[in-house]
Amino acid sequence: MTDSSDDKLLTELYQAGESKTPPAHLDEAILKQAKSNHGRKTTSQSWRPWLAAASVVLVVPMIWLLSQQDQLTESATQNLPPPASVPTESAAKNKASAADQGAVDDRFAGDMPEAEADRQQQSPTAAVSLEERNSTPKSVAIQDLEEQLQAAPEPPSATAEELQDSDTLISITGNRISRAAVEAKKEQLKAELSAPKKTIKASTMDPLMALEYAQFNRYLEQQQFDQADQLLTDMQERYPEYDYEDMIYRLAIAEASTESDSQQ
Amino acid sequence: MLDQQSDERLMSSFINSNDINHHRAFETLYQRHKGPMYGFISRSLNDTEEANEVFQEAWFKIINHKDKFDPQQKFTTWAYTIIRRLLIDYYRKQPDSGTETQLDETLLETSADPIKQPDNEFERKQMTQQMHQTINTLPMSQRQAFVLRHGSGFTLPEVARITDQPQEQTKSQYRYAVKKIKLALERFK
Repeated sequence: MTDSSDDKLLTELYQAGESKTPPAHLDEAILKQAKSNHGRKTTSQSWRPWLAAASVVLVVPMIWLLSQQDQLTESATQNLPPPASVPTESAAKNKASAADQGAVDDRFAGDMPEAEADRQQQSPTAAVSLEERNSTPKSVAIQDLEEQLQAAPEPPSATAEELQDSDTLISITGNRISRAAVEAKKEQLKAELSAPKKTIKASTMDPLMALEYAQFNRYLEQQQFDQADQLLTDMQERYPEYDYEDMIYRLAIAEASTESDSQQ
Repeated sequence: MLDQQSDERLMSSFINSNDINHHRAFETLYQRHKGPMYGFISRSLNDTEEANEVFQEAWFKIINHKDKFDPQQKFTTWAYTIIRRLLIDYYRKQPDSGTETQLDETLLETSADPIKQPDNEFERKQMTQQMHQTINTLPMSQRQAFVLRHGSGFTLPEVARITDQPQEQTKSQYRYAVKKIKLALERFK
């Protein structure tokens, strides 16, 4: 007998014993599925209109936003004043900022007492927070920078190209700062940071500072912490070359102990 | 009329929703192939519940993905490829999957005489029973090669394509299966 006849016999024997058929309920389910699928689009086809709609919904606002941005940039460029002048929002703000700008420039030209007076006039009750006091004492230059940034009016948006050649700079908060003032403050900061801080001792203190130091101690004894705080801030500004860590620490301890006593 | 049409023609009618014989074409196709397909799945799984589930899932896939069918392709090759993929998924879920027995090289060296034709109906039934018992003991790849060849009528190159294996490997598996079955049927001489 040949292989082909074996092959045929194997098929006959296999199919004779292979009487397995799917259950009737499976037949029904499958034929029903085929019927219900009639005319139905495939999954990918049914999603096509939704995908098209979704892409329109996403793309149209993006195009609109981009066009708006272009218009804004254009209008900002047109409205941008000459770089040297400081733009204003209101008359009062303008006055204050102009005065402050002038004062800052003057201060960095070496006229420190005037700057102090100016600052006290603007915020006579300003107090240094505990966090600030616990850190290294702020230099005059840092405080002046902060005040200038706070007082300066918000400039209109200007592109980097427009500002590149001007003598003004835009700070991270969006304010316009004079390039010369920034450079002067940088130099002052460098000088202050490089100079070693002096320890507050009776032998090294200026006579006027010694008086203020004595007054500070009295304020602490009398638990007049606001006054002590104000005096400490003034001393930090007037004598930035000294290390005030000990005074800050004593003030904080005195305040904390008074608070705990009052709670008890 | 529809009974005379090829599988591919029936499938084309089923895909075309405007065809008035749309549903009958599918019914004809289903009646033609449900037995061999169910047999192949049952032989591959040895579990009636699982076989029912895979069988239903396979036909649902055929129905739902009918647009992916290429009329140039043979319907059975496409359909059995779907089934094979479902079976692979099933085997992967089983904890003892992948325990394919090694081929015994010496088996092919032993000569097996041609199968004796059964003398009567009783002997034919006994031989059939013996054959199916032996098939159930075959490793999966050999079993599938044999069932696809003799249960569904595929040629060995088609079996290789469906099982996604090299032709030589498929031929080897098939020869092992036939040799074992012949040896099991030798007692009827």
